[in-house]
Amino acid sequence: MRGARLFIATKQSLECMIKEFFGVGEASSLLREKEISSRELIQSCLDRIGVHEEKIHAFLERSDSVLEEADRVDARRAAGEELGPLAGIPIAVKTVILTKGQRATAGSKMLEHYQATYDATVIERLRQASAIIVGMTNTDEFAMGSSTEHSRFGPTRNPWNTTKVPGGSSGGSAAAVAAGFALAALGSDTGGSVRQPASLCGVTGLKPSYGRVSRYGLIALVSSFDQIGPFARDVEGVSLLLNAIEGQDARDATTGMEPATAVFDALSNNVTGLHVGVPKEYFIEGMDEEVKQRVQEAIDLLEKGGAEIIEISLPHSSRALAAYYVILFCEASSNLARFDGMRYGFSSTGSNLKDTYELSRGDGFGAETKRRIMLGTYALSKGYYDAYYKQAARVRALVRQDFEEAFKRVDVVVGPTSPSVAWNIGEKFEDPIAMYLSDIYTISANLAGICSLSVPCGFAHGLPVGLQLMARPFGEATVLRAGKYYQSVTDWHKQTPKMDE
Amino acid sequence: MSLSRESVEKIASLARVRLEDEERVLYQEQLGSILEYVEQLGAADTSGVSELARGTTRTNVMRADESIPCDPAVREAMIKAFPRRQGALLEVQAVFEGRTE
Repeated sequence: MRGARLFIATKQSLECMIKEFFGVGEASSLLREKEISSRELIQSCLDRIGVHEEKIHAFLERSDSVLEEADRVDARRAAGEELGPLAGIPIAVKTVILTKGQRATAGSKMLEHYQATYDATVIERLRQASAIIVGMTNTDEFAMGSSTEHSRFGPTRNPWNTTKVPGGSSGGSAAAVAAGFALAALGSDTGGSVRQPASLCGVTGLKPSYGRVSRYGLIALVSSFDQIGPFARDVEGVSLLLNAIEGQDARDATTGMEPATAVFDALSNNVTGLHVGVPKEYFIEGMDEEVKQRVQEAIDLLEKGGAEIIEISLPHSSRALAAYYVILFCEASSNLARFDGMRYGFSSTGSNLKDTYELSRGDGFGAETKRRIMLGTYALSKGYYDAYYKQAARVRALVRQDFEEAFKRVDVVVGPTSPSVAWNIGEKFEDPIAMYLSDIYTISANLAGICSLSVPCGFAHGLPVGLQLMARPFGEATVLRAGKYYQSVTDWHKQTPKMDE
Repeated sequence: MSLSRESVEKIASLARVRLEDEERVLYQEQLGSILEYVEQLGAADTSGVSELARGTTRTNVMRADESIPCDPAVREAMIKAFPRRQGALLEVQAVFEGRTE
């Protein structure tokens, strides 16, 4: 029935129809049934990009071969070839993920002219799945930020309200999916950089467990936290992307032999008997009252669906943010040492080697990057290492222990993704600590290495709110199951921004 | 809390980052307040807790001791990305200054 309805819509107006594309899964079946072509699908995205991209600024670079690629997929399908669920689906990719033929700027002047020389493993896998990469999306410089304002190429704007930030650092990817510029996207999540912009832009986003997805070809920020994760309108779309990119890769030794996520089981639309933990530490002052209400309503719906709601405690939550940032500063200062003006990227020649390093890095890096590199250098320097880095690593152990204890009693930990909805562009730009505090609910999953999903759960002050669902390492099927159930009884993920003038 | 001008200069030098005067003033304030924020870590009771430095419990991932050649096209692209080069060689400034041989 639904197929037939959309078929009529195809004939009327593609522009109108893409608003009805709630998910990759739905588009995928229409492609398979040849009710639409990949070319039509891509063209509808290009049309929307043409109208709205100038004000949203989701992309830093766009592929110029998307229609030809779509034609090739359509031709293979017409020839009777059996293609997978992502074949012919338009996907946007964060600019920190190397994609051959595209610039990988990482939102930085340092890499402004840097062309990716090879494909990241996730890109290889998307290409094998015949997905179509529409372009490279904006990010805070080297994925450091929570608003995408720290991009050296200008901010991305939230499609729900262009005076607001889209969140970050993967704000370009989240905005691209929210605006219908692509049906799905990849981002990277070091401390919430997939989930928080998903929340602020009203889309679905997953941070897989540490070790689930290969980071080969990801420009490294914090090697012990970084994960690549998918965005889509709904849980089904995120699941299909996860299945395409997950799994062992000899080029990233953190990936292992864990079986692929059992998405079919996850999408069974029930939460009967699921034990859902609500951390008492998460509903604290500083959290927006309306956001709190939306999250509570979502928890009530899970309970109504047969989940058992259990109050739990994550006693070290209040120290987690400080531990997260200290570890981030330290690892980032080490990872970004490779940008020295010598081998690639921006270079400014001084009178001697040290001068060249300092000038190249002084000019090539933006303000937030320099702040974090200097803080890391300081925290790792002689006399401070124990007090900062080692102490932070011990607090990290305690945070992980909190989750290990919690997961003995519950299957899923639920709470808000972000303490507030999207804020005004410029509002927190000059206040680093206010910006850091916006990550307070997301960083714990990275400290603990667990997986975490954000799904839209309504609106506060007219802007989207996200519900966060966390599960033990390699428990993706559990969060996807809870998220899918939630989306089967709500339609928040089907809402789309108006984006009118 | 504000860091001294000398402290910020020292940190910037260790981090190999050249700062403009106005940046230095800004960072004295900002680095100081961020350090003040993270100093709350000292209040956490971590006695007997070992550090967790990694995201995984996986250890000793082995592979065959084989060299994997670089795709010539990738090699060429990397060489093209060098800021300064002589032929296929990366040109760098002298590490030891004042030496003639």
